[in-house]
Amino acid sequence: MDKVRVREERCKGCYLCIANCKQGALSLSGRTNDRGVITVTVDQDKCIQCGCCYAMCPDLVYEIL
Amino acid sequence: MEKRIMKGNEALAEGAIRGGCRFYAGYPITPQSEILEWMSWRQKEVGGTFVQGESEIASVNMTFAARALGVRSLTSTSGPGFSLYQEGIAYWVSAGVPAVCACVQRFGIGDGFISAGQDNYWQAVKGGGNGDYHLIVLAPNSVQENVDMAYESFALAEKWSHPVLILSDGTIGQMMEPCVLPKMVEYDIDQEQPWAVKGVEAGQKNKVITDITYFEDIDEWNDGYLKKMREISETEQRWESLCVSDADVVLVAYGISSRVAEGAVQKARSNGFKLGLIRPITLWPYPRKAFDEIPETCRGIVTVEVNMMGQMRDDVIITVKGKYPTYALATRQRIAKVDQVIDFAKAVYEGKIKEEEVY
Amino acid sequence: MVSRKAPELMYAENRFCAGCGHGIFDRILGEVLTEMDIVSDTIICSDIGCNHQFQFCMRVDAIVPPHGKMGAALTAQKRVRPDKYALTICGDGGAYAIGLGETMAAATRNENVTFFVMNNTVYGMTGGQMAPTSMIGQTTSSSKSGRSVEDSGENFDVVKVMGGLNIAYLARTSVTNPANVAKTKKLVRKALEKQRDNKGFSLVEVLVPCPTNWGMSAPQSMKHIDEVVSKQYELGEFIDR
Repeated sequence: MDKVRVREERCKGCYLCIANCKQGALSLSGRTNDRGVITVTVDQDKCIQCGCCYAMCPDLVYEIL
Repeated sequence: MEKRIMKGNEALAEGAIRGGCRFYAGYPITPQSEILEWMSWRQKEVGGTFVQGESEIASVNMTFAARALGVRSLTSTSGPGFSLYQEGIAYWVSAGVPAVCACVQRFGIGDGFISAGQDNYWQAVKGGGNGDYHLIVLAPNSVQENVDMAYESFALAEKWSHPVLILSDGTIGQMMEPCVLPKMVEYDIDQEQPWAVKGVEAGQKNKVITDITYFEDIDEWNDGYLKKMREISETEQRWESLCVSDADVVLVAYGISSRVAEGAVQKARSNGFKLGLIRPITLWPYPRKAFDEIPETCRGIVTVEVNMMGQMRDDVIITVKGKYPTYALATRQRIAKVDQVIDFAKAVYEGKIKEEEVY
Repeated sequence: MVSRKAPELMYAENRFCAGCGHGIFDRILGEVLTEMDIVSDTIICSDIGCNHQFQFCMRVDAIVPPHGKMGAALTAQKRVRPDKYALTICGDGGAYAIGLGETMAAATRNENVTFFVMNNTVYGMTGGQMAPTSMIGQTTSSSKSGRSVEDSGENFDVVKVMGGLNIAYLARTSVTNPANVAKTKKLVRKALEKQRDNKGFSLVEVLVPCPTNWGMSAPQSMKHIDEVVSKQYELGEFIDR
């Protein structure tokens, strides 16, 4: 089961989430959303649901499930 | 009905209180400070709020906020204070906030004089701030009208979701006269008001009191706004006419000048000179309809004003579109005397005065 | 405690630039209003500038007076509706430059209102011009060779200016990492609790990044705040009555 939901369409590509994920669970997805931004993907196995991505994202991309 | 002898400014303040005004903010400036002083104790008595703002700019924006939260709100100022109000009042207009301002005019440019004048006219009726607007402008010419106009100003502003300006002057503000005070209105701030916010539950549709074009289709909003302005312009014209239909010369005057003009009409008529008077009660919308009554034979229209450049003459020219020659008896910082008005009108009648170009 | 889901009142995607600190702050405020259960008792007074775009992503009743006049408008808000929270999300330009008079007057009267001032050391919306908070030597679009004391005086530090006032609460915080975000949330709540308890004027200055006008990536901007901006503008709680 997923630990984090990523609403990729909201991503503006600041990548504060990646910079602040101490588990190294976040990386570029290689997918581009409608804004033309390369979005972020979560390695659900590495994720410990600390909520740092949620805390740092200005655009509410993340929801910890 | 309660009868009292009151000073004009205090009467204006009491009229507002009785009309349901429960918020006042202002900054001291002559010749309107009695409004502020009256409000400082009277609002406490009626359970309202009085704030002496740190400036005119603060006061006009306090008034905006109080009205945007639903309370009938008044502010008042004069001369250069009214200049400082312009930005704030433009925000009232664009947000459709029906707050009320009283401007007790004085004479002069910039700081000017503290004595009475009619020098805020252009600013008052042409907009004053940025953007396409006029305020609804009421012009009292007695202490009683100060009471009545302040009393009804809130309902009028709410009717149109548009600010009302009471354009008084230092003489009307400082004089004492008997007046009748109407009964107290209690206004419920929790009633549904399109221009007011009260807080909204999470997830429910909220309201932002701002330039409405942010949240609506701008063309639709513009259309609606223009329709409103046209309707006000058509339906809210108010005036008083005296002996206009057979007049050889028609005076046009508001506020203190209209009292002198009325005296001039009576005296001239008793000496066989057919003077008439149109007294605009609303300065915007300007009472254009009043001018339909002027006979073809009229030799000229004269505005009587306590300023240098005859500010109201512009509106007469726009109204009569060149049909009659127009003149201004602009007596600077001195209020015209009855004989001075008659002499000027007579000179107009005899063709002795050159029609000046518009400044 | 780190929240985990968008507060219900955040109804739309915000219009801020990528990595903008306003987006982080607005969400923090949304969380606090929700957790204190005061959304329906809150009326936000907007400033003009980037900050005012909270209107387009948060469902809270709001009013928008002219730029910088929050001190005056909040005063009236609180006086006529003491049962409602009166707060502003504003910019350093609004609160400390064009609105300094109104901000200080509200503070000296110790009005029971709350200021959340986003300090990004520039005028963001208009293109990164020098603000009162721009630091000595800081290059901006209107101080190309760096802010000089000779031309523009010293930068504005609200703690120095308000430090001696009899107000309820004065704090400075940042949002540079998850720990600071959590701390900011705590201080935001504390400021609103001061208002709830009728203690008087509260102001929380939040050091936020403006990656667009600083010409940095978002992570670089956060590092810049940690290493440079917050050395100039000390973080902490300075008045707590």
